[in-house]
Amino acid sequence: MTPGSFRRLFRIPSRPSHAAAEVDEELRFHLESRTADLVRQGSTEADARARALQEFGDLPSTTRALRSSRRRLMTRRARADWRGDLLLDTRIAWRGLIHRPGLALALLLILGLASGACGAIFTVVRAAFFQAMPYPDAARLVHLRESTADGGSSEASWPDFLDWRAQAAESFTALEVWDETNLFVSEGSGLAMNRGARVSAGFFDLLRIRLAMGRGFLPGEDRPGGTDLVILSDTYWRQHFGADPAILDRGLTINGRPHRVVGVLPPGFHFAPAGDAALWLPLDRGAEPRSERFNHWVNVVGRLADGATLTSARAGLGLVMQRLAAAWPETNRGRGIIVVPLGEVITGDLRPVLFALSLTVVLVLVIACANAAGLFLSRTLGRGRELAVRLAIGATRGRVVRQLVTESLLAGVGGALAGLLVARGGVAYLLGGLNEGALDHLPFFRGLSPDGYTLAFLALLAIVTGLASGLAPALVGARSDATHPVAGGARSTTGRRGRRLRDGLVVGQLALTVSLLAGAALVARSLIHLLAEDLGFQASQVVTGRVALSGPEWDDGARQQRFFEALLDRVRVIPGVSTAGAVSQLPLNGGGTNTFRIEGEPEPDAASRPEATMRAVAGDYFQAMGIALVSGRGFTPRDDTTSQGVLVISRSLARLFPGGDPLGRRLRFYAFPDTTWEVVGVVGDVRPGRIDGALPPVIYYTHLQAAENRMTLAVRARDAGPLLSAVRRELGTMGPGPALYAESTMEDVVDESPAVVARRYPLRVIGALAAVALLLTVAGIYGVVANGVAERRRELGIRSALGASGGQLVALILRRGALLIIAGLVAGSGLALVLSRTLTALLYGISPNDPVTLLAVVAVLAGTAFLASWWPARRAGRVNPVEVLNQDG
Amino acid sequence: MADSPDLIQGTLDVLILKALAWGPRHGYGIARWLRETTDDTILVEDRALYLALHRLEERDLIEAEWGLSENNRRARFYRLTRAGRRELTQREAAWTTYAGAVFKVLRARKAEP
Repeated sequence: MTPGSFRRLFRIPSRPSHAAAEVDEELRFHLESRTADLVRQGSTEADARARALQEFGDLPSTTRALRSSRRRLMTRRARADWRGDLLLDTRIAWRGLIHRPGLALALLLILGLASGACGAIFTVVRAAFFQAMPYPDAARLVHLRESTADGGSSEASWPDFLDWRAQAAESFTALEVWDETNLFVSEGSGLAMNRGARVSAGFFDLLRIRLAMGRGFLPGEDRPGGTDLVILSDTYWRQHFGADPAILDRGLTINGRPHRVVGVLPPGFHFAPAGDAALWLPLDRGAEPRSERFNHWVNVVGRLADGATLTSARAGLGLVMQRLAAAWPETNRGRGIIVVPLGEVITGDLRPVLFALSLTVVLVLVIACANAAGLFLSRTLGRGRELAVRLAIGATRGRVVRQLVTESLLAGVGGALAGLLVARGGVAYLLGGLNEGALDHLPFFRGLSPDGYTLAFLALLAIVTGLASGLAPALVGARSDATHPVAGGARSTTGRRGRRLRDGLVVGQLALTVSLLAGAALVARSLIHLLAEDLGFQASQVVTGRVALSGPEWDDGARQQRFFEALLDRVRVIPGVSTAGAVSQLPLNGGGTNTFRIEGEPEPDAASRPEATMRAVAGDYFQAMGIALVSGRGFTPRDDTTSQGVLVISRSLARLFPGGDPLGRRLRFYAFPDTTWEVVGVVGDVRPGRIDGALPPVIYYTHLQAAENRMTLAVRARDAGPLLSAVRRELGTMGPGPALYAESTMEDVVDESPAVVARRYPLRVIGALAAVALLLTVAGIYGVVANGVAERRRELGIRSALGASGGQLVALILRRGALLIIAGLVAGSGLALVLSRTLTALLYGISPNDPVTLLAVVAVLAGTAFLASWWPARRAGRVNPVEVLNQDG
Repeated sequence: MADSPDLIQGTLDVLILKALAWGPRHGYGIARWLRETTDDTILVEDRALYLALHRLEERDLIEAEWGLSENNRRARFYRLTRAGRRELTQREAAWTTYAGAVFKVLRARKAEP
């Protein structure tokens, strides 16, 4: 018999703190026994004691030595015990699960799904927050914009930016500019469209990025007329140059002009606000208008100086803006400064979505743990006999609880391992919902997959889920029932407590599921409202594709106009095409605004000038897009550079005209004050920007009067595929300049617009998770009711024998179930009202506390839950009283 | 005993093990038994005895539990473990061989030239 089992059998506690007391007691016994013996042999008490002490030897030093030796021994034994117990528990737990493959599989599935979902969200959230800015000291980076008098915001103007650099030096160590752009690289016989960015000279220094090869741009290289240089991204260098180490000074033809490669960026570098740029060029301020103070196109990034804060920077720049407003009231009156951390700009739209998803997945995890706890509870109660015996022969309650919890911890570990696989698929699912356009500005999501951090997170989750699902059932189950040590069952305290716990779990699961379903329903309805919005155009059967003319040979405006007219003529005769037109920017694509004044009206003051989004159109754009002509006329080929400049305005703008009729009135734009334009038509309102955004008015002009070198075709036709290949063929014959890209249909453009994606995307995920939660809860209810029927078999048998009908028995069972369901639904409604508030940012056209949605969800859940409890309850009606009574005999 | 300390320690260990060969005893009981059995010839200092007992316990040759003495007082009883019993058998055999050899030398007659 080992010392350990010896001790356990006799329930001797041995803790190292007892060492000193035990040693003292042992030695005291010895001395007193010797004293007693000597007294019996005739000595006096005092003599005997002295002699015993003398015989013993040096008592104090011995005591000390014995105490430390004993403490050492006890500590060593305690540790060995603990290790032995753990090993034993794990072996028992493992065997227990192996012998119950159904239970083990259910646990693996439930915990695996929930852990995996958490792991996937964790990976994505971590990437969004910690990998969005792969630069040193990124927290000091800020984005600068200007606020406008009407409460909006815009990019800065170039002269404003120079003033900031000059006058706000104490707040910033550096201020630089970026501009995203599409670049056309000559490859072989054609042109390939690549994402690119133009940056000011000190851009990479500001980010503290060291290039992998070559150098960044030198000061002076970003001036107009500077040399044509390009820096490649690591991916581009690998894909297009095979990672050629002799890449520097090689040439690349971009937009028809040769550029010299001066550097290669390090792998993994990205600057999200500029999109996933493959090619980096120096800033091109181009022709004069770009340098004017009324032209707002400059995106500014800055690094805060040591000691400066957001507040101090805002204050400092605010003063600068005030001075500028005073010095240049025409362009800067009412303009202020907006300073935000760069991280917020990059992940801003994502945050409410990620937050909602995180909350959702936590709820699902809780439901999963509750479900697992329910499974453990039935198992523990089923082992009541075994546990009671164990307690009776001397195991402490703590010991038994520890062994039960080891089982749930093992399940948790299994769930975490399964979760790793689920997480891999989960991340792919999460990122699969993002289209190219969205991913372009979220480059840290490309190629994302679970990594070491995810593994560590899942390990933590294993412990959390193990404890959460195992502790309560273990505490309930590890009780010895004094009166019925081996009977247990419904009558015992264990049975009652177990039932309370199980009921509580079901109510909790139901409540959480109500919240999840309500949340999903609210987002779904928002999406429906969004898509039902009248966008002002007919999106179905409209094919789009952007055509860009790049290269110096296309710089002539007249040539551009002739090109687009000719292209549209050719497109019109393609079979299947009913109408064709083109526009400078499709609806929902945003774009800057221009201020104007109406001739003959009093001059508005600088802060309240009307402004509108500008669009150039060609061909039969309005007909192709199904935009209604309200009054007047559209553009004709006679409107060209020799005739009066004409405009078609959107209906909301017509209201600005006193008297109501804008036709024939003239407008003058502050940006080009030399020409007047006559209004010849009014069309229906179309949203230029986000569907859920504001509705600024739109002013259309014809490209024949102000040439565009890039326009998007809008063609009403039956089939997209053949049409686009036909267009591509035509383009091929029209010269080496034009390139076709961003082919799509208008329906897809709407579907992929940020407002829609911001709702459809979380709906995908929340919907999936809500479905999982529903499944788990339904399974939980089924299990509880089925168990209830099994437990009350005897009672049901007796009632049946006394004359109760099958239906009455079923009703009896259902009554208990109904109470639970009602409790769960009520609690869930309350919870939903609170939690739905977190979704406010995602909702559209519906309040988070919308009663109709909540009632619908509750009704659906009530029905489902009732079905889940009715199905097993039917068995109660079939109980054979003779069988049941004979069984207990 | 005026021998080297190592010898004393080794001897004491085997004496204690033997004392426990017929059943558990407490520390005082072991001391008393040794005194009686050797007719007071071997006088073991009590402190040495307890130090030896604890050493043997650390080596898992003996194990201890608290029990009641003859006078119903709480005392720490020691008993042999399986390993201890094996050690006792080995040591007994070694001692017997050793003592036999010494005895042969001491009993030897004058050696032939």
